[in-house]
Amino acid sequence: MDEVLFSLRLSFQVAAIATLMVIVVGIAVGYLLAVKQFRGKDLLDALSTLPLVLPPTVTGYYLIVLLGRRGLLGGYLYSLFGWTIMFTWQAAVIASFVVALPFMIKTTRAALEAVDISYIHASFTLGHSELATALRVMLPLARKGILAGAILSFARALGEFGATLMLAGNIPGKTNTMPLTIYALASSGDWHRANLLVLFFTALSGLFLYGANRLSRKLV
Amino acid sequence: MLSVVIKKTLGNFSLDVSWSMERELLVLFGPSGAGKTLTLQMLAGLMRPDEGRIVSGNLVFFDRASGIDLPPQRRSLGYVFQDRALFPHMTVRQNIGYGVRGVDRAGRDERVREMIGIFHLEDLEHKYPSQISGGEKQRVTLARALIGRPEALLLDEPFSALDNNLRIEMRRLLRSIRRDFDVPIVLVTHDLLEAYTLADRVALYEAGRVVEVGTPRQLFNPASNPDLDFYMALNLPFLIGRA
Repeated sequence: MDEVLFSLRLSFQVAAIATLMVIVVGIAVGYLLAVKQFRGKDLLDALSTLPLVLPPTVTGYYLIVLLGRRGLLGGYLYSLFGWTIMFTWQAAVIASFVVALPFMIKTTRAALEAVDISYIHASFTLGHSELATALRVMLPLARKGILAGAILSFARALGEFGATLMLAGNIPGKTNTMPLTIYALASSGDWHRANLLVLFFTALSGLFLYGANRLSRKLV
Repeated sequence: MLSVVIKKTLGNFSLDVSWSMERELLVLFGPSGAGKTLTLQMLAGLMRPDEGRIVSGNLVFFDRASGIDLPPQRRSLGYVFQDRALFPHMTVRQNIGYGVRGVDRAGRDERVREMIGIFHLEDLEHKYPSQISGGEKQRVTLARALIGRPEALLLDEPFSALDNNLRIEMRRLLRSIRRDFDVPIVLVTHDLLEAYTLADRVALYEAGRVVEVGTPRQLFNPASNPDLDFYMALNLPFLIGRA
């Protein structure tokens, strides 16, 4: 039972931290794509959508290439600090972050683009900078879509499997989130426990989504 | 005071206008699509002209020749939009307060209170735009536009969504704004009565050009301006009744 609770807690911890990161980065990138015109915009758009299309294992593979002990960035970190993110729970956060990010970017961008231009113009003529307008007018008016994006991202992060397995592995008591534990149980033929966990995880995720949807209706 | 010389081509529409005004109420009058709103947008810095020069007092807003193009934030104009654009997520009070900048909290509260008094919004302070009527919204929008003490007030068909009784009330309000704030006003309208009763001078727009500028009496005299016969025929009895 302890292991089950660990995996459950780890799953929610990883998903929650990943979602916080997703919200910050997703809003920033969503804003850039919605409002700004710049070189490489289409490239950024395509790149930020890619994890949606790629199998998570492929995304995970790229993350290893980038962050692995001999990776482009990871190698540098390893030589500097003797530390690698590979096979830690933080790696699970990174994996969840990357696969969930496109959901946030897409919904935030759409919500920001839907903000009526006259509100933005009104804010400008009243003397407010672009940043103030973004913070005080655009984001509040887009909050519905942003919240929906955050919930969707959390759901995606919670269910993350492929990229997590590649980057964080399935180390009992360390990186085994719920989806990984269930996979391990099922593949070792422990159907009884797998059943239990599947039901438990489904109920909890369902409950979370239900609660989040109700809360967001109340907030906006 | 305010002088505008602009050229702008958008698709197959071309705007080529020039006018200037003193501390007065200038009406930009003409049919829809004549370029009136476009002129206001370029005046406010929301759209960039292809050519020309816009000057307010001794501040150059835009000058193609020397590459000056002040952003809307630095033009200090009160702009009231056609569709009003009150922020739906802010109360009446917050909307008005949004127009004050560079003042501390106490100073801002004081000015907001003052505007709420002038525009008779005491009971609406804590309501949201969706909870108040069209006429009330328009008063809030005017208060928000004026609280920052703009150099000029730009009104884009501000009363077109209101019914007749309210329009009359709004015209009265606009006259008292002129008296209390002593601010030049550019009013865009395609309503002849509005132009006739409010304007010091009228700039007559037609298909992207200003065809004539003058006082309402000069302009809306059928003998001197046969183009306006159509409008006059529709509105003359009404005009005589009101004037």
